[in-house]
Amino acid sequence: MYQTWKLRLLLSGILLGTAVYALVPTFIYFSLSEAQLKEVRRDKDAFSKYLPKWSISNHIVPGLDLQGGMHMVLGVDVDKALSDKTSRTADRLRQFALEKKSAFTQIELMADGDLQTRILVRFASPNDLSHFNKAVLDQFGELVVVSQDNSSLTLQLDPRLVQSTRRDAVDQTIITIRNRVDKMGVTEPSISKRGEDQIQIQLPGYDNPDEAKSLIGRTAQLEFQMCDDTTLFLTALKDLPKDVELVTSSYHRPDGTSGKDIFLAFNENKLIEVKAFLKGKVSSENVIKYGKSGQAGLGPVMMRTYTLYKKVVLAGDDLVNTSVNMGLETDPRPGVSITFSATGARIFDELTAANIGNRMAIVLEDLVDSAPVFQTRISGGSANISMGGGRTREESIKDANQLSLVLKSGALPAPVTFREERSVGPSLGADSVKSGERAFLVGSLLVILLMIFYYRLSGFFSVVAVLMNLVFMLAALALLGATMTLPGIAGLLLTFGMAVDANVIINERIREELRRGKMPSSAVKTGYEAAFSAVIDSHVTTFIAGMVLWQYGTGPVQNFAMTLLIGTVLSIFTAVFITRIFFDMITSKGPKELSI
Amino acid sequence: MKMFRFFDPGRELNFVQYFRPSLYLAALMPIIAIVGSIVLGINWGIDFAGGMEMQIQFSKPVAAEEIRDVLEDLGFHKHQVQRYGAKDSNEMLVRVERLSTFKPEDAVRVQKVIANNMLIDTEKSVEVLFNENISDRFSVKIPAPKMPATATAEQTAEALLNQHHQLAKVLDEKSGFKLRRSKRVGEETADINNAVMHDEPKDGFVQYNIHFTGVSDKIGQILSQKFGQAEIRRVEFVDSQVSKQLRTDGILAVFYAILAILIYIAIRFDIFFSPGAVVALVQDTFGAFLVFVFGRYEFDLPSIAALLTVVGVSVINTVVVYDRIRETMPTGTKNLDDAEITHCVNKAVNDTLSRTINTTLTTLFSSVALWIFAGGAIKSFAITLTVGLSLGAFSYTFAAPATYLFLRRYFKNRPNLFASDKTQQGPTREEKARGIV
Repeated sequence: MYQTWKLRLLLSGILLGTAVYALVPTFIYFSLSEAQLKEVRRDKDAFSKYLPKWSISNHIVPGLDLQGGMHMVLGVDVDKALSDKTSRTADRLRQFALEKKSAFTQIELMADGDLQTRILVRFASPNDLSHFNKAVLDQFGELVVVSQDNSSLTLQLDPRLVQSTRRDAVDQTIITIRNRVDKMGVTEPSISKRGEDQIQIQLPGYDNPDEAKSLIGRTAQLEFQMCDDTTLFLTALKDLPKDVELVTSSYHRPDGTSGKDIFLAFNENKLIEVKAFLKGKVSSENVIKYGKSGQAGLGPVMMRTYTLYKKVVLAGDDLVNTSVNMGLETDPRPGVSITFSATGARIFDELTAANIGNRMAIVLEDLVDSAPVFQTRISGGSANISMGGGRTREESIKDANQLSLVLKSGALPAPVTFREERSVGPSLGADSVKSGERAFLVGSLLVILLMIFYYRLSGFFSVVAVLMNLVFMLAALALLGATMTLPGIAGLLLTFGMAVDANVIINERIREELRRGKMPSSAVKTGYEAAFSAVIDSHVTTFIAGMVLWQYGTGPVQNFAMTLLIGTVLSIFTAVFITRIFFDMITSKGPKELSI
Repeated sequence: MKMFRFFDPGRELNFVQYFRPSLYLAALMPIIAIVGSIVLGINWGIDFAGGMEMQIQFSKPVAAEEIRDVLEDLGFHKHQVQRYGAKDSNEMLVRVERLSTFKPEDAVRVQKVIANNMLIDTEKSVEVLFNENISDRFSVKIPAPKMPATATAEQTAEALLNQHHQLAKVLDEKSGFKLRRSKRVGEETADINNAVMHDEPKDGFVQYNIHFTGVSDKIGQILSQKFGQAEIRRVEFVDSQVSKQLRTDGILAVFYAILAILIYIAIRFDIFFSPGAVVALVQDTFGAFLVFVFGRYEFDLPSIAALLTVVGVSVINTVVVYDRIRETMPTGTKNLDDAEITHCVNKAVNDTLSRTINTTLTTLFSSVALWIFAGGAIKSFAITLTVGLSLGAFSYTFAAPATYLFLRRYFKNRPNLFASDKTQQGPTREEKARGIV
């Protein structure tokens, strides 16, 4: 087999070249200056301009412990979301029963274990109960009967609904938090679900834990403000910045007249310029807010202004729930139904009465989402926002879903608590990088020296193989866009130490064969073959330990496990395949001695 | 060319004479570890104990005793303060166990402050709610603003907002708790009003949730005032619920790893070998665990990783020695006498000795380099690994082959009891090797 060493050398040369190619972006990333790094963190695409044209862009990302930043785990109180939902359903049930004139003595919440997730309905007579069953309960598909006797009925939410409520509570919280984090100016944040009711947030480079906590943990900033469509101040403005357009469009009022919507439209990247331009030009009772206009996803994002009255008429605290409907009897267009709290309902009632035909802006986290027109006075605490015309039904439903989500995500659907919080300052991160590098250099140098001292030329072969193993490992990590933490460096170094082990086993074996008087070429052959099973066994066991760590571990531990796993797999290849090439290369000439 | 070697290959050292004492030692390890951890307790790290840990760097030397006094004044009676890193770095590690700075007596004070400053007739109508596990929040329930029946919803809402602002101001100025200042999106200045949130009024009462500045901020502020510049370089906080979960997961992880590896060994070798792997593994893992019992190092998440690595390495090396024993044993003869078996085992250990030393050295170089240079967060990780790897060198040389030898001797007349001797069946090693190399 040793005749093929040239081919195998070529093959491993190609592999090494590929690995080095894959490492180019990582190398460039780690040699960026502080200022460049900041720029790259802010805008992911900016990195590509530092790369040569032929390069890929995946690179190893320094972990929080190396570049500083925050790691948080939020617990979402899904049980609270569930008992809230039960309580609202009970309210609706009560109201509906009164409307249908179905007699009952009491509707109250009941505990199931620690949670108030059951509804107990009491009746004066069995007749009332059966009437209630027919007239009321049939309309409440989301409720199932838990138990029943002559004078009472115990209900609870359908298990499927319970499931989705829990899931939605977490998903909505994630959306809200993502919105907020986006506005904090943090780059490459990672927000993900962990387990059933936990959310993991990572903010690289962010070092103000208290501010982050208060921004993320607070309740929503959903606000409703009336649009001022009477002022014409925008039309009076002169010298609009370049590429900023004054647009006038009209909308229908329920009384047949039409209102005028006057605004400035511009590209997203002009926002700061427009803000500066408008500063000081707005009257004291108005405020200018901004929103996206046009379709999302097509071309550059267009923004527009909204001229609003300063007063916040309603806030997110007053909104209880939203849902998408596929059109009502009175209006076939899809829309979003909103339920307000008692206070909210009263304010909304007064507001709509005074403002029929005017527009109300829905402002989420200071960005105007949309501004529907009041078509009628709305009493009773629930409102319906119909999706505008000019869109297909399918698109309207999509819009409705989006709006419902926006409205909902305004309010954190369930209380959150901080379960875990770790923050590392940037100076500590820099220190860790330095000490990690030093540990790696010293450790690997010692290993290299020992191998060359003990096994001479063969030891040198092993060192080449182990170094190649390291390059392959880093390349694999870079291709995966993996994170590198301090435990990750430990994993690299440890794998470096253990990858030599395979070579030690093989070299020892070859020595033995030589001692028995074999010629170098046949000693190498039998040495490799005899050592193979031990090499495989040892790698499989490390792999098993790594797998368990990967399964169980979080964050840094998982990082350690990942380097261990990748290293183990690659080390079989380098120890058995690569070193063999070198041995075959020198034994192919049929020497009498081997430096081992 | 001369080869360098630690031992002359021609000479066979007698390892078997130390087999019996080595087994006593192996048995002693878990006993010492378990008794030690019961008597001395384990220094649980923040991951498993819960609580808050801060790494603080001062501009000038500060005595741990002074910091302890400050913590004591703040009401943290369970705390740990220790020097961290190099002596001239002026870094301290501060750990506090009880998370809330809000104590029952504070509740009484807050109640008084609110009643006196918010025009509420009686303290009894002010209710203060708090949870000692929540670090930076408490709630108060006070009567909602009284409104005439004719008031519009807007007026009611406005009255509520006024009460909200008044409450925030009163608490921030007079309660002794600084409210968190935060900006709303789009606002220029930070404001205390965002630290207070109110619920919907119910039965004439309204509940306010108040966020005050967190524990780490408070400690940082006070230390800065006292000792000059104090930079908080790292904060870790783990909720007791999470720490409990991490602890269970950790124990399970070690258990599953050991189980999976043993199953692999049982399949790969015959049943005489498995118990020895367990003995070696137990010796190494518990031995490494002694670091936490007697070294008082913190037992945290990376420690579990270190222990699992020790488990992995321990098994690897046992396997290599076993592989050699299996090979050295003459095949086909079922009834070997004691002397023959003993000789084979001893020879196998001798043959693998050079490899054992080399491998242990290379891995030790790595772990010691981590210990000395990387320090910090992975110091206990590196130390555990170093101890585990060093102990390992002995368990593969003594305890593991010893267990095999004694078992084999004991069952030598009944070899059919465990019939699966792999060396007699299946493809030979050479065949297997050829298939892959």
